[in-house]
Amino acid sequence: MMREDGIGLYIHIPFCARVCHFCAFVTQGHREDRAAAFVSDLFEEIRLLGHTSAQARPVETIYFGGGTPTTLSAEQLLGILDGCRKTWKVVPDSEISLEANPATVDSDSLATLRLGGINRISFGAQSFDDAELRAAGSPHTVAQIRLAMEQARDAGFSNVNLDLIYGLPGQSVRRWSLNLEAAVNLAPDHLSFYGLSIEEGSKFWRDADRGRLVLDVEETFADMYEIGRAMLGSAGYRQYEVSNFARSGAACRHNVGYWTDQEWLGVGPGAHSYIGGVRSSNIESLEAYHRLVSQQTVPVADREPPIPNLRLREALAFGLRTVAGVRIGPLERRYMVALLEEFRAPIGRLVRAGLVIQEPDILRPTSVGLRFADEIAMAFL
Amino acid sequence: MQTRIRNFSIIAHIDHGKSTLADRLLEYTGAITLRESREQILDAMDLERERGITIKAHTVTVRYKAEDGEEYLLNLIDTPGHVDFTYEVSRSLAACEGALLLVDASQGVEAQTIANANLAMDNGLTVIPVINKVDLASADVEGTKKQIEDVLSLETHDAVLTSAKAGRGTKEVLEAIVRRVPPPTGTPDGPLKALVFDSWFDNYQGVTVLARVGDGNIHPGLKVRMMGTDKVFEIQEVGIFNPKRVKQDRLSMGEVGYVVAGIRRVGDTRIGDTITEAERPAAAAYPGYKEAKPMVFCGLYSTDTEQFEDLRDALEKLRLNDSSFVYEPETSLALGFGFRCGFLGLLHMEIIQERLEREFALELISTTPTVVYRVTTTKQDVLLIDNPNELPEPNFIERFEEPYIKATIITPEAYVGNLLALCQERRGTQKGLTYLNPTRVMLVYEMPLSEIVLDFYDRLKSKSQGYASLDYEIIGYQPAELVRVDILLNGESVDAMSFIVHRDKAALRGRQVAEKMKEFIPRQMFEVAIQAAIGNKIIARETVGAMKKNVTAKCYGGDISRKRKLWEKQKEGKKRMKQVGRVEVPQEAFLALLKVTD
Repeated sequence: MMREDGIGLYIHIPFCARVCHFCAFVTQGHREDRAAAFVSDLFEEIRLLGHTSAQARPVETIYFGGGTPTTLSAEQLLGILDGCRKTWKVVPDSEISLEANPATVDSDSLATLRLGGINRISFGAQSFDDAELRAAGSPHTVAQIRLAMEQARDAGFSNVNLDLIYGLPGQSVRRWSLNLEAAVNLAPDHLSFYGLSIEEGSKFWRDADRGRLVLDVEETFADMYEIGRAMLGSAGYRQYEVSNFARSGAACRHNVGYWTDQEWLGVGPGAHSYIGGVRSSNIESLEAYHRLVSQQTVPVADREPPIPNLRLREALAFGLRTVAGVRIGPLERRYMVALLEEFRAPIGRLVRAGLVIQEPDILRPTSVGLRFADEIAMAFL
Repeated sequence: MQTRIRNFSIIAHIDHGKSTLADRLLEYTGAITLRESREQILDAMDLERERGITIKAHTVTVRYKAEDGEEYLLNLIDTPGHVDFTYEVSRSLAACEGALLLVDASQGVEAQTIANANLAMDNGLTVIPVINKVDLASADVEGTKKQIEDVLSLETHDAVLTSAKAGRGTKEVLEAIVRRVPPPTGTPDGPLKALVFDSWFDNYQGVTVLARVGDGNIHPGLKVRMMGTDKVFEIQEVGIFNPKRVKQDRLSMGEVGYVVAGIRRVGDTRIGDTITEAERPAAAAYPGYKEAKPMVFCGLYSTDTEQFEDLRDALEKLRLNDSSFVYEPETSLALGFGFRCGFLGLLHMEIIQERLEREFALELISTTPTVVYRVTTTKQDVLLIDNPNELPEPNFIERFEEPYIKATIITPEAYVGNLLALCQERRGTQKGLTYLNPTRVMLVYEMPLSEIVLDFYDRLKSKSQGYASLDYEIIGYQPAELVRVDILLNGESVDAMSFIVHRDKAALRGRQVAEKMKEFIPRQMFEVAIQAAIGNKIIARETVGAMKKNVTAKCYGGDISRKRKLWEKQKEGKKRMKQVGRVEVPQEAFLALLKVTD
């Protein structure tokens, strides 16, 4: 099945000023020479991808993630963006997002980035308590978050996100609400919050493994999650996914694409792609990535061809993480399956359990269902 | 010739040196050389094991030139040594005229030794005390002799002293066998009468029978009848083990050896049966023949429901070699399709389960073992209940009885207090407390079989630091105040978890089981109530709180494949769970029930 609809671009920048204790991402210490070499490798990969069939599809969103993309200079980032524009048809009203650490930006770089076309910026704020930030190994301070926010507004960013983490070691429910309140007071256009998860390979994981870190129980997490939802709701943010909240019209189109069966191309080491029904991932090691692209080889490490119905099941599993849910008609047409027939049993079970609501042409999660998104997903996989 | 045959066995507690002594006897008589000694015998056994033969009994025939200048044919009949196989042991002993009672001079008499020695004397055997390991510093020869005299009323002035390990006393043992064990008696030309004391199956020859000829002789071509099962066969081959299998023209009166007769099922040649001529039958069969009666039952289910067929095939194969174990299909709402299996005892149950898991690569869930209860209904029907779910409603039960055992425990004096408490707790009634010597005590208790089924042996060992030994025999049924306890999950009874227990212990046990279940049942989308109930009366309750969330917070591009694989795995795990109503119960929960202890 050849799809012709718009796609997203994800660009992975594998560097960080330092690695946070909760992070297990592909990332390494940033160095000028390494960064320059890496940027030219990225160009090489983009050039290689330019020859694939996806080139004809309009690019509607671009997302710089990492790592910390802002460990690269504004000029380097804009250079990459320019390479993308030359390779693909990037639509005029595209959403171009950049993940940033508050400690790695200033007025000048933000102004340059904004002028160069970046129109959405996402700060990994994590907490509004310096002690918590230190304990999590984050490279920035609360003052730096406030400053970065102000500078981003001054530079003309009208779509700014703040990421928060709840359930950090030792965090009380009250501390969490203070963090939220501080974040809301900065009036971002978008907020995401995530319960701390201990990823294998992170420092927290090693600590927990050695018994140095004891994590909060499920109950507290559930409470914090509900408090977060309530506070953001009353502050005028609308939830549109399990962990994402936005002022009207500020939902991240790129991320929504992941949950709604939109396809995308990933560029950079460890980046994943979903294109032409095939899911693939690039090799993670920066060295191997460099070697492959130098040999004019697409640096793909893993490729999963479409299995009948699997993409449809994924579309349901991930689509039901969004508040809007999934629209039945378009999916039925795309996959040529009578969806309600095919999934009568799991849908019935989820509806009876009060996790999912079935409306004409729409399946959507209930408010409780969002807390059990993994249960819903498992029902379809 | 028959006057120079000696049939004997060796009675010993585990580790008292039986196999070492047997090796020495074989070496001394030249059946095996010192160099090839142990290896060779063990190899032969390993081979048999590979071919799926249960080694329950074993015979070896050796020639011994005695001091009187005559050559004797000695048949060593090795017997299995566990309480579950008392009947098999008794049949092996019935094939002998004598027995060596081998006792470790540093350990003294143990419970099983007593049971088997008594069995030998009951069968009219000449019992020769052999005191082994006399060269150990801790050996107490006089004390051991006194124990044998006190406990077994056996003369010990002519006991043979050995160190099997050092090869000391071997000749004395052989001489004692020749001089003191009487030769077999019988009618050499009478109608054939031979005792079956073991049999096994292999794919090459079908069933091989071990037999001892009492009257007449047995030879290829002879048509024989099994007097117990009334089956007729034609003898194809007879022979002896020396220790290798050696064909013979015939086995004559008093001789011991193997018989092959184109028999396809071990069930056709029950242990204790009598072989006679089809044309010229013996007047009467050997006494004491009985069908093995399983005493302990449990449900066996494969953890993977798709392995049901494999389980059935495996059970069938094991039964080929072991007719004392029975099975029939049963269905459980919680566990699906499986089998209710009956065993002679606990060890027998463990052996079968282990073989199913090891040799057939099956993963099993077993339900709590249960004894066979006897229920007399108000209509005066007598029911034997081997599955708690088959118990009639209490108002239809007029009389409820359970099997009792006589347990003999031998322990160092220091642990007597612990063991008295343990027996008390298991509803035992003391029938005897005897000092074998100032430091060793023999306890005799009558107690319900059901009380030793679960973990009595382990507890006995842990309360005596491993020193106490146990033997028991079934002594019949006694009435008891018994009830069935059901385990309910959100109101639905889990059939595979029901158990029968004494009324006084029901509340405690119900509470323990409910607590155990709480450990194993994971949080679900809803609260799960775990209850123990007698009829409609709830006697214990635990609650597993509802899960409050199950959601991956971050789920973007790269997470999609990762999470999907994770969820697929989790779902695979869920599929392996058993469903009771809406409640998902992990298989471990069923296994954990077997480990609920007081």
